[in-house]
Amino acid sequence: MDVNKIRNFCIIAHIDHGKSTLADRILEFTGAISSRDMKEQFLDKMDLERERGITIKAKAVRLNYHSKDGQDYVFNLIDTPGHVDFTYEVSKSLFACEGALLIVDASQGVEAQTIANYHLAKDAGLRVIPVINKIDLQGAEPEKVLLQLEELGLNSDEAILASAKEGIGTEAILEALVRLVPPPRGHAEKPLKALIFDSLYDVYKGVVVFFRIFDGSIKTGFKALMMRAGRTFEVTEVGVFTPGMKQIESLSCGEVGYYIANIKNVSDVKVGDTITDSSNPVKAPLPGYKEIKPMVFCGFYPVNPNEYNLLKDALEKLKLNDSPLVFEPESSRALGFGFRCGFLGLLHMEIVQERLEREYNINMIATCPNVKYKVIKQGGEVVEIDNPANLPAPGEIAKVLEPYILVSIITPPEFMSNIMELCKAKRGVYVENQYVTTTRVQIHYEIPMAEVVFDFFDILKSVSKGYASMDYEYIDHRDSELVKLDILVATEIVDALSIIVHREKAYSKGKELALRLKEIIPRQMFEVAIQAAIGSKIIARESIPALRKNVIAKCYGGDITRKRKLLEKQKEGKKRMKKIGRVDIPQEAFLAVLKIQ
Amino acid sequence: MSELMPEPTAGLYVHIPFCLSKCRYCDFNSSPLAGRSGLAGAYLDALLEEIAARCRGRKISTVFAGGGTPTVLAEKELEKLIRGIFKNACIDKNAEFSCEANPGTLTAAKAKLLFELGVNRLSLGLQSTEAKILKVLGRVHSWPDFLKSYDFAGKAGFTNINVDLIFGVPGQTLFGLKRDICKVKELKPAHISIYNLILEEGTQMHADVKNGLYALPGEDLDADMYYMIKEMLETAGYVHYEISNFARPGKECRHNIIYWKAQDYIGTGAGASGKLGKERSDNIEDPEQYIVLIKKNKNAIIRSQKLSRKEELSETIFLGLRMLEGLSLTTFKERTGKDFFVLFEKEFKKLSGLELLKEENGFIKLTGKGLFLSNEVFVEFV
Repeated sequence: MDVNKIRNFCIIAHIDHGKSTLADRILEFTGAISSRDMKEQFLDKMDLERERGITIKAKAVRLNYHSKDGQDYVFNLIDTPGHVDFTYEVSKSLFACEGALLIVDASQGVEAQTIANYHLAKDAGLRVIPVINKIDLQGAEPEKVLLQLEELGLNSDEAILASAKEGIGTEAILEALVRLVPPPRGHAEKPLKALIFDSLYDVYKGVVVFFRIFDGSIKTGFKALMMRAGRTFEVTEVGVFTPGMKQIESLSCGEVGYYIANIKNVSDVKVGDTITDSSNPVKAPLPGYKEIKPMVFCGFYPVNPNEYNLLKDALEKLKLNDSPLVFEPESSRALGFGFRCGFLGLLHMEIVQERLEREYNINMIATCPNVKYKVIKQGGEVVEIDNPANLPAPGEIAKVLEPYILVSIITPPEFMSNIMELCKAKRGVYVENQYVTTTRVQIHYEIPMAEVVFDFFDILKSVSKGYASMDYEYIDHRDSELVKLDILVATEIVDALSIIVHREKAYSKGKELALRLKEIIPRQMFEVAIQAAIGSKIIARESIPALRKNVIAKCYGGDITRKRKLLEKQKEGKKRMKKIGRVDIPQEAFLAVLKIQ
Repeated sequence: MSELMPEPTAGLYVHIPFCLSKCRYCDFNSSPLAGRSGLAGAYLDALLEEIAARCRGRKISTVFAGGGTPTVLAEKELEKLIRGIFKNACIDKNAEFSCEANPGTLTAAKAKLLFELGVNRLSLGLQSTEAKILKVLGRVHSWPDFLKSYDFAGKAGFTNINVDLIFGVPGQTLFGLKRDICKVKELKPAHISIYNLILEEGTQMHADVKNGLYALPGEDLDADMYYMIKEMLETAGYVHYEISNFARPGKECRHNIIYWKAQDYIGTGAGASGKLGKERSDNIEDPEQYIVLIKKNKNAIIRSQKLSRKEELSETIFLGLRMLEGLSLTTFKERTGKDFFVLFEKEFKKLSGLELLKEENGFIKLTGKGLFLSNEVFVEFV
């Protein structure tokens, strides 16, 4: 294939600015799919039903385009994950391209992830083409958005006005890709150098690896060495998605596709790894590789202990297509046997939790999320703590270090003071403010990540009336005055409710948590004390008085069936609670920790 | 039928779905009769037809005419109803025959009529003696109205009178309730039913409380009220025989005991429920549709359900335990073929540990503390 006729590109955007819809339009326009077969948002089908359909989710689609210049081109549209938690994966997908379409909603304008993605694309050396989407909507202000783009340093003359929903601007976009995005460079005769930018697991085919070739070529029988993982697998199939899975003879320099090689586990494949010829390897792998490490942790416990194996199976199944997800068995005195799970971020955690409940129908308790702490013990030994319950006794600790992140918030200037106040309350360290455009300020703070995993995003949205958007990256671990706050219910420590907090906040958090639990835990047959403690020191106490009334006052001939149902409902309610010592605690109690400020 | 086989007995419930005006807490199948001329007559025709059809082959040991308010019917209609019941069903000569009545609808003539036709127990809905509480409840009568009705009933010859009261009403105080009890026990009725207000969805009061118009007294005050009532009435010589019912010895309501002992009863009228053997059934609720169905099919059952063994067992327990005498271990074994303790050793241990349930002379019964927490006990058996 003529390398000069290849265009590799991706679409980047802030959430909901119309990325998936535009991808659909491009697929339709190039004839990859007819509008009759068109299922909305083809590239974005998390939905299990569709995932189990004929095609595996395409992470990259090959398209044929006959341009107005009379030539035929091959486009590779590479999908990028859409959230701040997946910045690393996004950067790897970008690295597989030469161009990027930057979509901006014509009424929302530039947002935090617009900027973050733009910078990622620029850093990856991509030719960025701005697309102003949703111009058909009332409230669209393309002129304003053009100004914002100029202020970002983009060429507004190149911006394309579009409405993916209405199909406006699609052809102009495709022509711009031909004209502005450079073709790939490289040498087909050199040894193979290719980048893995994604992978997925298919029940029938095993692991499918998505890659982009910079030099060399690959075909069936090729012995592919993954340089970072240090493992070699023999390629059994090479192909492209069109968008259906299509096996082809070979792939060469500049091309994007997939291979299958009897790989059993997605975790054997590292995003960002370099593939080369095991008998004639390149000297050095591609730069910028990072081991993906989970940042946020929490415990998942089945409400019904008999469902432990069900939960385990479900996590293993999810893991097949979600390599950043990690989990290992742990046990809690309060909750029994469960798993400590690690996630890239809060959203990732929420996705996993929701899928477990929705797709696997598991009734479970998720404990309060936390970050990974580094504890330096008196003897100098360093231990990593991903579960507050495991924090060593105060006497053994020399220092506790917690992860800090650099948070970047984009907001209209009128919410600046609210947001700065929020960041300050979250122990943030001010870095700088800068006007990105006349109506957008970018605020930078260094904030302990633990403060952000609680409720930061919700509060940010509420203090900015929904206008502010944020992005973050990990900086380092820093020394902090941290203590473990325990909750005792009826004098028993409920380990699953323990949290690590800054010493200055311990008292107010303890008090608030005790109060919330008092509201959430229903009255029992006896008085129940709720205490918050640091070590052996009780810092707050509430008490739930004994239950005094639970009666059906009136029960005659016509009522009996109804009353039975009422009793059955009560019984179900009791079953859903977790028995800790003698006390029945509802699942919401374990979320209460999340809701305190 | 063989002479040696005793005729099977059953209680008979007769529903009158009409009232003077809807009370704010009421979720019963009842609506004001005014403006629907002709409906009552057609309804009674259908009702008597159903009674004739459903009571065939059964000896009726108790009758309970409830509602609604049966006494909202005109004298002629009341007469037709009571005479019809005696004519269309085989009523035992010692049967207990109760009729509900509300102050304000019970005239001297109606009281006299009921008694003379064979009604021997009258249940009067007083609910409260306090004007402000009656208003919150949406009752249309006053305390003096009640006294008048009570007097009519006595003069007509009734000695077996029940007075209905409600506690736990928004705005009610412990003191106000105490005064209610004092006033009522002064009258020495044979029977007092006193219910903790249940806020039923769909009622006006439910909406009022949800909208913050009123606040309920709360569980602690409710419990204080309950145990105060119990003490006051027991001191006055009443037997506390069911969670919400008190009677002078021997005056317990035989009809209601049929429900709690899970014995057979026939439910007639719109929305009425019945239970014969393992079969529970419900009639259609709407009176007009009821009339149509009876005319067409002589039957207005829209739901019937055969109880599973497990359901039967749990009903026997949660109904039986409502009575303070408790559940007879012998009867339990006779009925179910199982030993209570073999089935429920674990549950009994747990509940007796919590001082909610106890065993006494071959009976399993709620403790004093268990009465107002009885659902905690019942859920263990459903």
